[in-house]
Amino acid sequence: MTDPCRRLDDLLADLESVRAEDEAGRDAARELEARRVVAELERRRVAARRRWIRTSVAVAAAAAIVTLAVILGPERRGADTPAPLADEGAGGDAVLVPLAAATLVRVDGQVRVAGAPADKGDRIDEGQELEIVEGSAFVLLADGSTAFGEGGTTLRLDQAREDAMRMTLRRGELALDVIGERDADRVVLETHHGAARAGDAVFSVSLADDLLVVAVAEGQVRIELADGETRVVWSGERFELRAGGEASALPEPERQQIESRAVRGGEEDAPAMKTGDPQDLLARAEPVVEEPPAPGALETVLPTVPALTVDDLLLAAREARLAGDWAGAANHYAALVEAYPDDPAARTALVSLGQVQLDHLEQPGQALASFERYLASAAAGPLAEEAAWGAARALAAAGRNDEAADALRMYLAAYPESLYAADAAEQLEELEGL
Amino acid sequence: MGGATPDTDGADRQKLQRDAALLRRVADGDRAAQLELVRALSPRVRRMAHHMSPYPDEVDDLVQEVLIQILRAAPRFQAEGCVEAWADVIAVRTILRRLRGLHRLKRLFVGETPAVEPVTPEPGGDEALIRRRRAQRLTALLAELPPPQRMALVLKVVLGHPRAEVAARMGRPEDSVRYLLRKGRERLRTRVEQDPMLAELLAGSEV
Repeated sequence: MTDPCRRLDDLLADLESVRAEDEAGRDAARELEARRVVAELERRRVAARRRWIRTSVAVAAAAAIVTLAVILGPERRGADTPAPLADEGAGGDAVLVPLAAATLVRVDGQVRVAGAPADKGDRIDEGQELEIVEGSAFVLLADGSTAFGEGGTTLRLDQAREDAMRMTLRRGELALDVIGERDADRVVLETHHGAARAGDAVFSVSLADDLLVVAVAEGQVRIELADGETRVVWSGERFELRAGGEASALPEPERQQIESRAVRGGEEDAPAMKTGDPQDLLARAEPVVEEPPAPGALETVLPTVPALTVDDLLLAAREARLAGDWAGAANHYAALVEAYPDDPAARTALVSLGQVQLDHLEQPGQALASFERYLASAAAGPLAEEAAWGAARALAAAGRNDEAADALRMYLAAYPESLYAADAAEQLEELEGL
Repeated sequence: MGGATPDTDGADRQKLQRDAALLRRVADGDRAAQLELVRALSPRVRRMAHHMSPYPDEVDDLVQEVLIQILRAAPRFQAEGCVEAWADVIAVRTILRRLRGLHRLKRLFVGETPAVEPVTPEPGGDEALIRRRRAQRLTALLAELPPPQRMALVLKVVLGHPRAEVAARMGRPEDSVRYLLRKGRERLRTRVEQDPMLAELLAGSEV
């Protein structure tokens, strides 16, 4: 009898023989593939060059406009006449080659691009609209990010660059896996309720006439509402904006796994919603320059922390996170926890504090204390899953491997359907193998 | 960068020089050199993508993306090792990253997992056809493994790389690769033993 392990290896090794037989005689197809790869590389280079040209032209036009404005002075221009936009002065786009904004990687059902039936492999150019009539479609965006939509979804590809995408979701639901840097606006998805901006994130956006829902599985998504206010939705959180301006946490649904994750986010008052033309949003979709807290201002106020409300501290913490000031964010969360220990927001702030300490400040010991403090006060709380996952990761980061393995086993037993389950299982296997 | 790999010892010096010259031309945007490099690397990239992807429809796109990443990385190639090993490192990273993205998106949005269709034995059937169907079945079972385990098994067992090379390509210590291989074999064996068509092969009966 042959060793079963050896036989398994033999079976596996035979896979390559079978594949090679299948591949035989496909030289022509492979040559075509090689040429396609080189052409695609060239297309991406052209896109990059085009981006550079557009930026240069826009900058030059803006400089010319400013110079002209200075020379002419305000009295030479009608007081009500708005200054022309830089792009209007550029005028260069018309002569540039249109860029394919996306490619249909998979189509299961009926899909239209610019009103015409489309199928796998078809391209979507800038300005064209993708309509998923029924079934689903998987789209590779020009920047390398991916999008997935189902029937009833209509999406317009507004602008495609190798390192940035701008789209408008007309209706339906879109799941996006955005590559790039976390703090960059790699993908901007406009809706008539507001725009979602993200880099290195996985999230879904669902849009109906009176409802916008953004659920984030990984990373963070910045939501710019129609009135200019900006929110940040973090991994595991879900943002919902209803017509009438009520932002709220969702009820525990039997929907997607991500959507069933308990979130905070309905604790703030939502601004009044303006239903405007997406073009309006598009026109002002440049990143909002937010005023960071004045240097030292919060530090000087902290001794009289009770003067700051829960919302003040949360807002300060979020602004600090947005600005990448992780130590500042941790300080604000800690101040909130100490000043309002009985407030539900303080409990949830413990989890945010732990995540900042673990993922950005390399303080696994302190992160563990934050997560454990949350679990001690709210073992069945809405963020218990995140806290347990954070505690296990903190133990591993602190080198407490045996305890980390135990924590991961308990986590997997308690949350087998968690979004982090696969990562937890993999980490557990690695720890067990040490 | 992936230039320094342990499997370059003893490699032919002339080949290294040719590789380095080719990569310089690629980096300079020489289209003929790009085609030459793509033609040379396409088969090994396709082998890896084919055995790694649980989504057959995605293999062509995976191959294209890996090859583009290799072309774009050409300026960073350091002539310290053979171009194949360097390209493999890029391929492993690109494939794992893309598969993770595909998998989590599909799981997130539609709960889609690769289908493993049941296959019943066909005694007396065409031997080549049966062998092919067994291969399909085994590929499907392989696709159920976590990607790192699958990648380790594909590189080591299917494509026949020594363990040290697998470790270099995956950017992991050898001990970690040994562990991945052991766990991957255990899991796969369990699944194969439960499969009506493949179990008999594992038990040692005639094909």
